[in-house]
Amino acid sequence: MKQVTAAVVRLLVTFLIVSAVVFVNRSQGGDEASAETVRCDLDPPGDVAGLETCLARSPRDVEILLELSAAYEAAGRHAEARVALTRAAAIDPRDAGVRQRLAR
Amino acid sequence: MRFLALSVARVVNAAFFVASSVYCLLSYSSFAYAQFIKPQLVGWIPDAAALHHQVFWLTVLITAPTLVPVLVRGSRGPRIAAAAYLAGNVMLGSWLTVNPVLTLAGPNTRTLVIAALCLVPPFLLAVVDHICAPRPVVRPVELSRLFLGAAAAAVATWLTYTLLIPWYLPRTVGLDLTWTAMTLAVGVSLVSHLLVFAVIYLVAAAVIAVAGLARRPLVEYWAVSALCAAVLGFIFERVVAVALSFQARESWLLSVWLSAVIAAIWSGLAWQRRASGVHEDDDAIDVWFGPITGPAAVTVIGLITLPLVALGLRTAVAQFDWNFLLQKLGVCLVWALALGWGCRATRRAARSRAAGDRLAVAMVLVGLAGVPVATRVATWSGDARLAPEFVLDRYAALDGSYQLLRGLLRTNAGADAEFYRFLKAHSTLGFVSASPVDVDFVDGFHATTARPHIFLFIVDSLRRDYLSPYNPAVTFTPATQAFAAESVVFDRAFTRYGATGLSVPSLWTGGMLLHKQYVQPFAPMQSLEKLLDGGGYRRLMSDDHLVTQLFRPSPATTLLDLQIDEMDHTMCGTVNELQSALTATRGDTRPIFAMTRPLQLHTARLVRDPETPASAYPGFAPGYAKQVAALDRCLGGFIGYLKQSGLYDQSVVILTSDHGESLGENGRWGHAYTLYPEVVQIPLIIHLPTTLAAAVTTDRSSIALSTDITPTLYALAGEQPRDLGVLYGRPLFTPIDQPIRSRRRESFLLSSSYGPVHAMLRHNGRSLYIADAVQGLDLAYEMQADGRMARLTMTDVIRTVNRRLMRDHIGQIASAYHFTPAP
Repeated sequence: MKQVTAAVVRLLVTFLIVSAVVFVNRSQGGDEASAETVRCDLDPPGDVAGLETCLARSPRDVEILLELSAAYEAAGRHAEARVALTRAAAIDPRDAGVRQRLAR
Repeated sequence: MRFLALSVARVVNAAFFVASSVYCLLSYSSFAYAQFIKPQLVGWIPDAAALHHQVFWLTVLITAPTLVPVLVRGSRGPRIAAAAYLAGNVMLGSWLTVNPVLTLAGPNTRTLVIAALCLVPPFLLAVVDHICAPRPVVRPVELSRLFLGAAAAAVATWLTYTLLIPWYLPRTVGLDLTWTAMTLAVGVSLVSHLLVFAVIYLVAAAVIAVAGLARRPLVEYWAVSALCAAVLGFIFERVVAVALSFQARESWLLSVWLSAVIAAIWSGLAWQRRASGVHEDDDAIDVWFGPITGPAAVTVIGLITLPLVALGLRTAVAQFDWNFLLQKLGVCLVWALALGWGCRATRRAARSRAAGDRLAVAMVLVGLAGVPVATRVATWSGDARLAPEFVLDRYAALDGSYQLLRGLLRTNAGADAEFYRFLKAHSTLGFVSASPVDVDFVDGFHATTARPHIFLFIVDSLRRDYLSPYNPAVTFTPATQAFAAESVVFDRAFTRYGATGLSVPSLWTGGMLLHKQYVQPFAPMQSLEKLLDGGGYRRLMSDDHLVTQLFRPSPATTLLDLQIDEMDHTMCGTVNELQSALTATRGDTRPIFAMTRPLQLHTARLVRDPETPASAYPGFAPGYAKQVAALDRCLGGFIGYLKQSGLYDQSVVILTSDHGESLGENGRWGHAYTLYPEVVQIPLIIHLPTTLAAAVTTDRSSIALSTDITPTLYALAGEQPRDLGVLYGRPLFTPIDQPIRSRRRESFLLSSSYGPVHAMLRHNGRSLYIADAVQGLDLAYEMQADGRMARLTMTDVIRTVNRRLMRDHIGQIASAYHFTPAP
C-alpha cells in the first residue's frame, strides 16, 4: 500500500513538474495592441495633431512622416515640413520618393 | 561477432523498410510529390523506387542467414516464428515483383496506407527476435543510477556542443554575439539541458515506480521500452511530421506507429545482445542500452569522441534544406548515445533514491527560474543586445542540441496557438475542394504588330546581393553590371513566395494563389499564357516540371533543354540552345517569348560541385559565387548576341529570381520553408526597348513584387491591365504623362511554397513580419539605412497589426477560390 501511494505521489509530482515546464515555456502572443495604435498604423488620421500623436507612437514610420510633412506644408508650416522630410530621409536614405520631395 | 553481423543485418532491414515508408510519405505529401517525386528532380529516387522489389530480395538475403541458427537449432516456437517470417517475406517479395507498389505512389490515401504497411515486416522481425531470444533476467532498476546517468548525459551533450562552438563560429554568417551574450547563452544552454534531462529522469522514475508495483523486473523493462517509444514518437511528431506539414491526426498516428516499430526493432536487438553474452547484475536500463554499450573503456571512448560524432553528423547534412530535419535527428542520436553511455558510466554509483529525486527537482526549479531570469538580463543590464530573442536565436545556430531543445520546449497557447492553427488550416492544402479563378487583366487583346520580344530569365535561388548592381562589393558579375547600366534596377524587389513551387506559378498568374499544388485546371489563372496567346507570341521555354504542368501544349511552343535533367539546366546551356533556335528561325515574324529557369545555384545542385577555395571569392559563399560568375558570363554572351542580331532594342529582357537563398546566415541554409530577408529579396532588372523606355517612367525605389512581372509585360506589350487588387500585381512602369501610383500604404502577403509560413511586407518594403507556424514563432525585421534588414524586438503592435492583415489577405484568397478549411 505504501509503495502504491509513493508511486501515485511520484506520478502526480512528475505531472505537475512537466505542466510547469510547459507553462513557463509557452507563448501566448502577448496582449492585443490598443485600437488607437492599430489605427495609426493602418489608417492614420489626416490632420496634423492626429499625425503628431501617431508619430509619437511610431517615430520611425516614414509614411507618417511624409503625410505629416504634407499636412505641415498645407498648413504653411514649411520649416516643420522640411524637418519631417529630413527625418524620413535619415530613416530611409535609399527612398527616391523621399529624396525627391526633399529636393523640391 | 555474431551479434555484430546480426546488428548489421537488422540495420539494413530496418533502413530498407523505413526508407520505403519515407518514400511513400513524401509521395503522399502533395508538395513533395509535385516538386520532387513526380518531376524526378533527384534522379536516383525514381531509379531506387523502380528497383524496390530487387532491393527487397537483397534485404531478405541479408536477413535470412541471421535466422538460420534458430531454424537449425532453435526450439519449436522460435523455429516456427522464424520460418513463418521467412515464408511471409518470400510471398511478399513475389507479390512485389508483380506489383511494384512504389512506382504507383502518389498523393492519395492508398499511399499513406502503404507507408504504414511498409513498417509491418521490420516490426514482425522484431517480434521474431523477441521470441528467439531468452527472456532477460533483470534486477530492479536503481533510480539513483538513472538520475546520475541522466545528469551525466545532460552535461555530456551540453559539453559536446559547447566544445564545437569554436568550430562553427567562424563558419556561421552574420553572428554578432558579444562575449557577454555568448556566456549568457552557454549558461542558458546548460540550464536547458539539465532541465530537460531532469524531466526525462522524473518521468522515467515515475513510470518505473509504477511498473515496480508489479514486482516483476521485466515489467520495468517494458515500461522503459514504452517510455522510449513515447519520447521517439514525441520527437517524430515535433520534428519530422511538422517538417512534412502533415495534419494533426495523421501526424500523430504515423509518429506513434513509426516510434513503436523502431522501439520494437531496438528492443529485439537488445534481447539478442543480451543473449549473446553473459550479463549478470543488469537492470532494465542496461538491457535497453545494451546494443550501444560495452566494456567501460568503450563507454569512456564514446563519451570522449561524442563531439566528433556530433560534428560528423551535422557536417554530413549541414545544407540539407528541410527545416533542419536531419540535423535535428542527428542531435537526437547524440542524445541517445549520451544517455546510454551516461547510464553505463554511472552504473556502479550508489546513492539513495531520495537524493536523485531532490536533485532532479532542484535542476527543474533552476531551469524554470532560468527562463524569467534570462528574459530580464537585457532589462537589468540596460543592454538591448542581450534580449533573449536575439541572443538565444543566434546562439542556436551554433549549438544544434540547444536548437532542438528550444524547439521541443516551445509550446503555443492562447492567441498564438489559435493563429498558427489558422495558418496551418490554410496552407499546404492536399485533398481539398477549390475552384479555379479567372484572372483576367484585360477583356481582350488589341490587334497590334508592335509587340516587343520578351526574354525572361528566372534564375532559381539567385540572391541579389551576389550581383554588383545591388552590392558594390561584388566584382564577379561585370556582364550583369553592364546590363543593369542599360536597364532599370528595382531596388526593393521581393518574391511573393519563398521556394519555386508557388513562386513561379504566381509570377505567371500575376497574383497570389491558393496554397495548394495546384488548383486544376490552371489555365484560368495562367495570365502569362493568355498574353502569349493573345499577343501571338512564339515561345521558347526550358522544359521543366512547372512548364509541362502549368502551360498547355501549343504549336507555338518550342521546348529547350529537352532530355536534360532539370537540375542540370544552366544559363549557358539554355542560352546556347536559344541562340541556335533564334538564328535558325530568323525569318519568323512573330514576337518572341523566351523563358528559362537555370538551376545551377540551387542547393541540391551546388552540393555536387567540387569545392571552391574561399580565397577565390572572399566575403562570399565560394561555390555559390563561382556559379553566379559563370551565369554572368553566359548572360553577357547572350546580351551580346541580342545586340549583334538587332533584337536587343526591340526586346524586354528581365533578369530576376524566384526566391533568394540562405547561405549560412545564423546557421540557415536553403529556402524551402523560410521567408527570411535573404530569401524574399530578389533581383529584378528590366531592360526596355528604346522606344518604350522613352515613353514610360517608374519609381525604382518603390516596392516591386514578382507578381508584378506579368502585368508589367501586359503593359509593355501594349495592353492596359486592370488593377485586380492587393493580391495581384500591377505594372511597374507608368506612361510618362501619368502620375506614379504610390504603394507606400499598401501591405503585401508573402508565403512559403511548402509550409505554413507567411509574412507581411509593409512600409514600402522596410518592414517584414514573419509568422512561422512550423516552428511556432514570429519574427520582425526592419530595413536599416544601409538597406540591410535587421531583426526587431517583437511588440504587441507589430503582432496585432500584421496578424490582422495576414488573416484578411489569406481569407481573401480562400474566398476567391471558394475554399473553406475543415472546422
